[in-house]
Amino acid sequence: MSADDQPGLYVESTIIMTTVRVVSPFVLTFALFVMFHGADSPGGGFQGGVIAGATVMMLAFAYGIETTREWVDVRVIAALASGGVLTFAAIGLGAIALGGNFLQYNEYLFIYEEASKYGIELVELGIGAIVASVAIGLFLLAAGYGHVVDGEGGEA
Amino acid sequence: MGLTEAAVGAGIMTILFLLAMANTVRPDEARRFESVRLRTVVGVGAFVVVLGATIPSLPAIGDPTAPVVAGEVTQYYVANAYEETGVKNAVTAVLAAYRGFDTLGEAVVVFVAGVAALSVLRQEVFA
Amino acid sequence: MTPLEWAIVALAAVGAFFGGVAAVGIVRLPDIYTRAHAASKSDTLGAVLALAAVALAIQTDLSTIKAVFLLLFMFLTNPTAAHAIARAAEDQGIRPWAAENREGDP
Repeated sequence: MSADDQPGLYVESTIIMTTVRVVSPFVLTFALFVMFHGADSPGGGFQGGVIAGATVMMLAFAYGIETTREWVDVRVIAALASGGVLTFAAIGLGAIALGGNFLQYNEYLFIYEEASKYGIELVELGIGAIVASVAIGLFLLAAGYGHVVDGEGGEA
Repeated sequence: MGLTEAAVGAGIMTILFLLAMANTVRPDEARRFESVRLRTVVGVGAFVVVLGATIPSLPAIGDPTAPVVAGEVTQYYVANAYEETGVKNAVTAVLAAYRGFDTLGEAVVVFVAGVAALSVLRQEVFA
Repeated sequence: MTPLEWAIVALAAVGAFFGGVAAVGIVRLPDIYTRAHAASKSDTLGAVLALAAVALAIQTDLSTIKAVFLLLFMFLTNPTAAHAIARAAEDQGIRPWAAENREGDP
């Protein structure tokens, strides 16, 4: 994604672009850390998801919202949001299908002995995917609303 | 949980509110209260009063005998969360195991919020 | 007190001083550019010094590394945020406070 060699695009200052380029990998790593490590330290899916979503917003601030909109794949966002819900529901309902209660992790003990811990991790990951994708989606939706209406020439 | 408030409250909400402000029109002074309905004001006011009336019965901040600390359920979580779930963070254990159904509802609420924003703004896809 | 403790107290005190200077600057300075100047320079220095005191006080722990990382990122991001705000203000056509346009832009 090179913003500067395409004419007519919003060009942000070099200072902001450089800082975001340096900082954003750390932020995304921290988001994944918070998400994965939520079982053993403060954190979890909601928090990590928001931080991951904020990474994309930071990119949008540095490189321009339109550039980011072209870079973000809509299908990935939709897949993450629905995939998160499906993951959570599948783990919860799978335990019922195996004869336990909703989210009763010890029904999965035949797969792996620490089923409870990794089941919780998976659930947190699903939550993180939902929160991150919805945060990115709402941001792009709100940022592009006037633009889309103007472009179509329709009424708001 | 404080991390959530920091990330959502300081990070995302500011941006979303600013974008909402940028994309909406502000009514002028004369028309500011035109769309406020008396019925809504009474309903919301009554709700605030009812909620406010419960404040005096809350336990003091940091009270060790408060029901939420001394209650049987909390004590059970503190005593058994690690053995039963294998997770060191009791908050995560409560969220994703003991009260998992509630958390599924929360996650679906976030999902539905995204879908609702799409349908209100009459968009097919995000972005 | 050991020299280390003296260093911790000195760092924290100087950090608090610069934080106070930044707060006074944000309240008292006249326009967005001068306020961004107070918020970026003084506040960053205050936060970085306070975090350095924290890193020294924790001594050898994983938390020291976290405090040092915080310090580095504070050093990177805080001035950049102030730069972005000032740039956006300039983009919006807000004129800097100066003697000749004091009446026009209070």
